[in-house]
Amino acid sequence: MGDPNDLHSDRGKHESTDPGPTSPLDADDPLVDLLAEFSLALGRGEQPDLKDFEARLPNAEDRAQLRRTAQQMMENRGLMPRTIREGELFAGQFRIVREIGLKVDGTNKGGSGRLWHAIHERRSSMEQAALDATVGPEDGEFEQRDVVLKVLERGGATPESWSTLRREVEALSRVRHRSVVRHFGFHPDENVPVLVIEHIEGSDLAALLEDLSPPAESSASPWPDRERIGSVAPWLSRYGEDWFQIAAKFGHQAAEALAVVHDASICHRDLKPSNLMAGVDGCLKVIDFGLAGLTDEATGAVTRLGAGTFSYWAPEQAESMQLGKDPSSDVYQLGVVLLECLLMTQAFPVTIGDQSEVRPLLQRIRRGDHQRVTALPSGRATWLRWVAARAMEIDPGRRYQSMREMAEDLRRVVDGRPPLHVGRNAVARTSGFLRRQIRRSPKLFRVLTGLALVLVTALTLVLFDEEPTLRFDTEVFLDGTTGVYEAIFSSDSPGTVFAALHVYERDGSSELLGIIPMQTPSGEFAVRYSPGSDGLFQFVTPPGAGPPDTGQYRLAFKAKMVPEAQGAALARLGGNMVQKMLEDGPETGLSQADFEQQVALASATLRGADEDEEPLDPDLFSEQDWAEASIVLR
Amino acid sequence: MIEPALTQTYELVHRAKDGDREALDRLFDRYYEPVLRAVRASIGSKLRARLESVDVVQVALMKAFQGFERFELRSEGGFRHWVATVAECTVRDLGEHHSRKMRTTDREVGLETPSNGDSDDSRAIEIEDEAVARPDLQASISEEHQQLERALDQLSEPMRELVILREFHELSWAEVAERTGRASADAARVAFSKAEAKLALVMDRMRSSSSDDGL
Repeated sequence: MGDPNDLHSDRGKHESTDPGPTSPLDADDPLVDLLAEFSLALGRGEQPDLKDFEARLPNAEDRAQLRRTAQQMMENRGLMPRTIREGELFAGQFRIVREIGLKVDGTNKGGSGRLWHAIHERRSSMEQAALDATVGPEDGEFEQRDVVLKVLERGGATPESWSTLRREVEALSRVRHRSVVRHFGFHPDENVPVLVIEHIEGSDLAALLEDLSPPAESSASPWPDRERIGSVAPWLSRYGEDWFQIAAKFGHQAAEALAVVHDASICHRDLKPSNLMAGVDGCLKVIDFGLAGLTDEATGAVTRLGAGTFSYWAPEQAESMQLGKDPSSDVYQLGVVLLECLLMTQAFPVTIGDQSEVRPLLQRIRRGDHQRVTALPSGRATWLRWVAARAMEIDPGRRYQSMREMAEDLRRVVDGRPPLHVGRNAVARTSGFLRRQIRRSPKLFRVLTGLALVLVTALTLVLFDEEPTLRFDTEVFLDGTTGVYEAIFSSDSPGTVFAALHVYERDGSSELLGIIPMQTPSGEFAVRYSPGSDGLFQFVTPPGAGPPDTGQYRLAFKAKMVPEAQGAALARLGGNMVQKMLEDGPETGLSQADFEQQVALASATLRGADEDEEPLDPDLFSEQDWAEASIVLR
Repeated sequence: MIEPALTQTYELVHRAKDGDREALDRLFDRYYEPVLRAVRASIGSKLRARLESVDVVQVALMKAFQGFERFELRSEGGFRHWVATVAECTVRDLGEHHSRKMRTTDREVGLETPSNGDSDDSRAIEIEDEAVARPDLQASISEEHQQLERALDQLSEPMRELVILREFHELSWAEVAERTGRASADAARVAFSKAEAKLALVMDRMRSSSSDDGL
């Protein structure tokens, strides 16, 4: 029965009754021939120059129509969108399983195209023919594998961008790293551009962060505990023991992969949580190189990106409104991803789809005005923030100098060691600004002191008999973007911690900026330390910028543990100092004598002291056994 | 060898024959609109109006499903093309004999579907009244598509055929070559590029004239 071709031959003639256009097309219209030639060149992936085609037409009107129509053809290659259906065998090779859904941020995972999960069932006819010619049809067993087909929209690309994309994909197909999604290349047989990439079983980080975050009204810690991780994605245990080790591992794997990508002269340019796929096998992969660019290539202005992508732009991208071609933008973007692993939400929140928010968003990015992490546990969590802060420096020159350097620090954090490449040279702008302002502006000092916090993670009340020793485990880290100074300390014994902040001039003289009021996460000015965990000093200054100061000086945290009996009075002192400074405004450039006077003043005004509370011993401040962590300010 | 995508269609047809309404719906979801669009593009404006009163696409699809196992088809695009051709012939025949009463569809197109008595597979898909009229799908032909149809009307028959085979039925270059009697996939590609160019020019002229009208 029914050979369809028989029916085909029965077809009647077309019965158009339309009057047709005013100027019917001539069968040998030179425009048709030129456009057909142009179309074939596009199909071969060439970049035909329209001017060459226009030059072959004598008539200006024809030239205009050629240009118009050719541009329309470029925008709409193939005239109709290619429809793909589940179950179909696409391009004779790929069995379509399903379309891969939308990202958390509402954008299609494919970015510039649609993504389909497919099974590569067989070789293309070309490949098979080549194989038949060499080894014979019965040999060369084909192994099926899962792939993702990215069917790119033809409307959004010019021949130039196509050609660029092709070269990038070709470059990427040469990059071999377990954490870079495999690019098998463009499918050669189809007119539509189809990119064949590796299929990954797992979850992207955007979805993971959303699933792992506690509900908005929950008072629980913002970071998922083991129980929550186990219920959401038990396979995450392949990345680390707790959330911060897992996040560090994500960062490390991504940084290692991107270092290799950068070696191949490619920048990703669109790093964000939804473009990092955590595989269930414990291997994270960097995906979606749809905006990737070669580092030696000029980049065009960007007009078609969603607000969700802008949230991850580096300040220099926000400034130039271009994607950029420098690996340091990737360093910045990976820093944002790490910060979001600590925030458990967006660093630069923006309403998806609201283009009116883009402009203020870009301004926030240029200022480094991102969401802050508060009450962060010390250890890996803090170290991760340091790495993120270093990566997110506004000035690319102050960021990690390479993705490999960042990977090295992240490796250390995964292993439970503080990062190496943070802090040292990240201080000039803020410190110069800080130093001058402290001298000039009493108000600023008030703000500084008012904002100064010491957060200590472990607050267990433990009695102790003798004065324990405190030691700093790190140098002071300065986040140049936010103006946060931090250092981590620990002790073998429990105790009450007291800390002060000093500035040392080049000539050796020193100023005491103030004691640091000891505020606990619950808002009290009291701190007890218990062994087995790290304590974190955090000194917060307002973010600001100014020209670098040529003077060299040193800023130091000094801290010690004091007798338990002094704890209550010391805590009250801290609280009262804040209170008083807020009321009166402080003196600036305190000498040791000035400071002691302040202490006496504060002690005299202690409010609500119990009668049996031991008064504050002024000798506490003059003794010399301070532990110190410092940073040299340039 | 039957293309595996058709195997899924085959399974759906079997389930539909067993009275599975959902399977029938899925079959229609899969084939109705692409076939309708292709038929509309192929037949010209006068016959197009007739499509709106008689749903030949539905009838052709039902017949095709009935006799599905007997077709020697290799691809889904090929199947769609075949059904579209059946529907097209039906419409043309209706056009030629519009004064006569409508005859049975299978006689008109010579479609050999197994009757209940002479087939191992005696089941037949019930065409319920409610399924016959699918105005929702008819209405889904967009203004954009109608414009494309009008532009296609102005192409020669061979050029229109190339566009429909490649763009509507999504046949491979090799299949397009086979069905249009060309020697190779490359030859089909070259011929298609001319049709594409001509269509783009027609559409550009249509756009120009409609914008002139608007001035």
